[in-house]
Amino acid sequence: MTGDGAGGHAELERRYRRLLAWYPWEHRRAYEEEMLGVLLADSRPGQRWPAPGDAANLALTALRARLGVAARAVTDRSWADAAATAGLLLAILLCYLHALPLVRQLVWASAWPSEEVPYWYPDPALWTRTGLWALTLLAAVTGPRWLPALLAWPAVVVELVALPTRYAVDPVQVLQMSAQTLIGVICAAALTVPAPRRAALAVLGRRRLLTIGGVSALILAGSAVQNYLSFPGPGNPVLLLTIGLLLPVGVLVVAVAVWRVPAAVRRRLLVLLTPIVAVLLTVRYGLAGWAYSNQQMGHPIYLEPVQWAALTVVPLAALVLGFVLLLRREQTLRLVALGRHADRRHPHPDEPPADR
Amino acid sequence: MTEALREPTFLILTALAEQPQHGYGVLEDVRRISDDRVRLRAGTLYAVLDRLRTEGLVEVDREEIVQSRLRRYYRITGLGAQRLADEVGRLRRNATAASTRLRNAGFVVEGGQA
Repeated sequence: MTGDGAGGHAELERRYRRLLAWYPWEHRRAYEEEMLGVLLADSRPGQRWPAPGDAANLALTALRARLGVAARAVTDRSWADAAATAGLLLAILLCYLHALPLVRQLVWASAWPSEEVPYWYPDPALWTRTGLWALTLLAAVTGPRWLPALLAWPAVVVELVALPTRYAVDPVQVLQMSAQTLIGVICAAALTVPAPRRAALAVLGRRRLLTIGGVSALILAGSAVQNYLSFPGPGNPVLLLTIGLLLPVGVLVVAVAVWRVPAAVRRRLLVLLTPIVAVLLTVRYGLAGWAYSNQQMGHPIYLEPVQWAALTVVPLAALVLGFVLLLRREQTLRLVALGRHADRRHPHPDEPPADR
Repeated sequence: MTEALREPTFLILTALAEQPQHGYGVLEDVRRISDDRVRLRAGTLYAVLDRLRTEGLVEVDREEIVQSRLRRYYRITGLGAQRLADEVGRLRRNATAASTRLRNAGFVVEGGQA
């Protein structure tokens, strides 16, 4: 045991405390004081610095403890519920995004068969993806738990396979669609996370799910009608404005419906959606100049490696940041709950306990 | 079938088998039991103790404040004792099989009971 006076002892203790700070708070709360006692008891007389072996051992075990906490955090029931819910909601969104151009084309072709359809082209890949996402959605609501992921991943692959060819011709369009591609990847990954059967349905509830699905279908129908009315000339402005309002109002209704899920699931949903927001912002603001240059030049300008790196790193960093903020937020909530519990048990801590 | 215990876990359970001990006591006892061959560090000791508590093999016996510092004593549970006994049986069977075969092959086993 160390015995080189209070100064050296205090210095060693301070240094060990710095090392122990690497542990997650759950571990520190349970063992920090005890571990410190053992470390100091095991130190040599006059020792001022932690032994290298002890320092390495503390760093390694602290890292393992942190990984353990992170692993427990991502395998809890709330994550499974959030992943299933995110998978279902993103499948609805993907159905909407894929059906939108198809519906517009079909409306145009049926309403104006003699006219040349400006953006009509047979796109088997689009039909395939739309069909796969629709089946994924159906499976997520009614099917066995392994089926949605089995349908979602082929839809992602069909999308990814087409990217290189499209990028060679029109890199800006591919970049503008990158958020949609990422939505597909996150949707498939979320549906792959093991969760109880129909977990998303249990979280959202039938009424909320019907609201979200109904609003999405209504916006889709409104878009088709708007498309029909806009050709060949300006349609009824009041009607067009009413249809135009469908989208923001519908988005608001869906947002409110999703916001009312349990708080733990809602926080995790937000974390899962951060990479999508990050990609949208990167493309919108970080690569706006590059997109503008592409429009001005007569030939495609491709992304530089650093731009690719930004496009990859930013969403990953957003996900990690979101995860860390979530852990901190929930840690704060736990501490607040503990404080309230203590307050309830001892409402007047300054007063001596009453004799029984 | 239960998984074999790792050596630090086995030695920590052994150290606690006879009487409750505090962390530093376990550290010292493990050194003694292993003839100074295994020198546990605090990080490893508390990682194992935390896991053993979670699995219900070890529990807190009592807490003391010594020189303004918390000293917590741990004791082995019935489940922990059973797990340790199972491991002792497994090791004994393995050791017996190894020494029997060595003896049959004509080797002299130094320090063993072959």
